[in-house]
Amino acid sequence: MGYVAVKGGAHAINNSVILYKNRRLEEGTDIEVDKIKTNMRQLINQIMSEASFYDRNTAALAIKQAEGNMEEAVFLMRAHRSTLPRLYYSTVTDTREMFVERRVSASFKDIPGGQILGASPDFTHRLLDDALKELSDGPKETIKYKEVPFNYELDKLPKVIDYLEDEGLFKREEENNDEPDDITKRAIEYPSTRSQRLQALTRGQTGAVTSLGYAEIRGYGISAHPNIGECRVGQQPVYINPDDDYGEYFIGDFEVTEIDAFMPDLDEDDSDAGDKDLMIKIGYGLVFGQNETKAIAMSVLDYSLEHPVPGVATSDDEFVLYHIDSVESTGFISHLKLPHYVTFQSKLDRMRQSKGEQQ
Amino acid sequence: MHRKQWTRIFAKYGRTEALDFYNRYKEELEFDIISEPDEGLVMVKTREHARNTLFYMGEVLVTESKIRHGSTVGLGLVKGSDEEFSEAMAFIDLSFKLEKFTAELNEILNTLKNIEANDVAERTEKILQTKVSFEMMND
Repeated sequence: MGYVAVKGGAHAINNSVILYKNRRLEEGTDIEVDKIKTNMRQLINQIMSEASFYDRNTAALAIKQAEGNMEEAVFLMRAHRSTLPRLYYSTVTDTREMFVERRVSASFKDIPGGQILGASPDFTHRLLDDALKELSDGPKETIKYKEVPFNYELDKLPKVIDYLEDEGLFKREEENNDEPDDITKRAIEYPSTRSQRLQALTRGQTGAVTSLGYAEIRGYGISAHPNIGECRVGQQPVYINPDDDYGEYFIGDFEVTEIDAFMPDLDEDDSDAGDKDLMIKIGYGLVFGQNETKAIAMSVLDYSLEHPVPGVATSDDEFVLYHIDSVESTGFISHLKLPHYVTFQSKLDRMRQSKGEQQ
Repeated sequence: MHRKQWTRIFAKYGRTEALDFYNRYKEELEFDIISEPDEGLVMVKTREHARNTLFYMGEVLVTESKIRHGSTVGLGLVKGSDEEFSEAMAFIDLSFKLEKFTAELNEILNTLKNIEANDVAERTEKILQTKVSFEMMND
C-alpha cells in the first residue's frame, strides 16, 4: 500500500490558527509583556531554564504568545534561540563569585556567613490572598532594619564544602579543564560524559527532573536522603574574553540557583581495600533563575548517574537524559494526536486480514 | 582601568551615561561600522564543584556591534536586546583602546563607582535583614 497525498485542510487549519490567536483576547483585555515579566517571575525562571536560553523579555513574550502554556513557551524560546548565532563562549564562570541573595544549608546550622533566607516562598502560608484581586501601586510592607554583624562580602561568601574540606571530610578533586561537550552541537552518545549529563539535566523539564529525582530517593535508586549542604541563589557575573589583548569583557549578571547535595560514600581513593573511610560526595545542581526544587532534583540525579546502581532506572543515563527534555518529550507525546491515518489503516488491514484467516 | 572593570560598571550602572557619552563625542572620533547592532548568544561555561569539571549551562541573549578606527576595533556587547547601548559600548571600547577621552571616561566611571558602592551596600543591608540569628533555648 502506497502513501496517498490528500489536501483540503488549508481552510480549516488557517481558521484554527485564527481561533487560537483570537481566543486570548476574546475573554478579557490584553496584557503588556513588561507586566508578565515583572509579575510572572518564577514562570519566567522555569521557562528560561528549560529553554536553556536566558532572556527575561523573550521569555515573557513567549509566555504571552503561548497563553501561559509552559511547553509551548519553551518550544518558542528554543525555536527563537535556533535562529541566533552563537557569538562567544564565556570564560569559566565560578559560583564562588556569585552575589548571593539567598543561601541556606540544611546540613549545618552554623556556616561561615550564616543562613541567609533571602526572598523565598518557603515561609509563607499557602492561603489564597484575596488582597491580590486588587491592583497594588507598590510593596505594602517594608523591611524592618536592624544592625546585622557580618564579616563577609556577598560576592565572596565561602562555600560550605570549604568547611568540610578543612575537616578532611571532602576531597576537592584536581581542577579539570577539559573542554566540555555541547549537546546542542552534537547529540549525546552513550555512555554519556559528565558535561553532557550536567547540560542535559540543567535544561531538563522541571517536572520530569523533579519526578525522577523523587523516585531516586523514594526507593527506585539510592534510597537515601541527601542532605542539602548548600543552596544558594544569586546573581552570577558572566564574562567573555574577546581575544583582542584587552582583557575580559563583562556581559551581565544572571540569576542562578546552585545546590551542593551531600551524600556520605566510601572513599574510593582510600588504599585500604578492606576498611575504606566514609567521605562526603556531592550531587551537583545549577540552573538558570530561582528554581530550587529543580536544582535539588538535578543534584540527586547527578549523583545517581555519577555513582550508578546496576539495574536502577534513575542510574541509567540513557533512560534519564532521553526523557527529561521538554521539547523532545512533549513534542513526541503531542505528535500522537496528529494524523496517522495511513499507519493506523495499515494496522487495521493486518487485523482484518488476520481475523479473516482465522475464520 | 581594566576592561573587565569598566564594562561591569557601565553595564550595571551606566547605560544612560554611556549613551550620553556616545552622543556627545561620536562626531569627534572617526570610525567605520564593521557590524550594526545585532542579537546573538553567549554560551555560559561553568565550573561545577562536585568533581571540579566544566560544563555548559545554557546561552544568554546579547546584542553585539563592532566599529573600527584604522586597525583598532571597538566591541559593544550588552546583555539582552539593546541596540543603542551596544553601539555606545562599542564606541567606549574604541575610545579606551585609542586612549581618547580618557579623562572624561574616568570622571564618569568614578561617579558610577560611587553609585555601585552605594547600591551594593544597600542590597547587602537589605539581604542581611533575612540572616538568621540563632538563639539557643538554654542560653
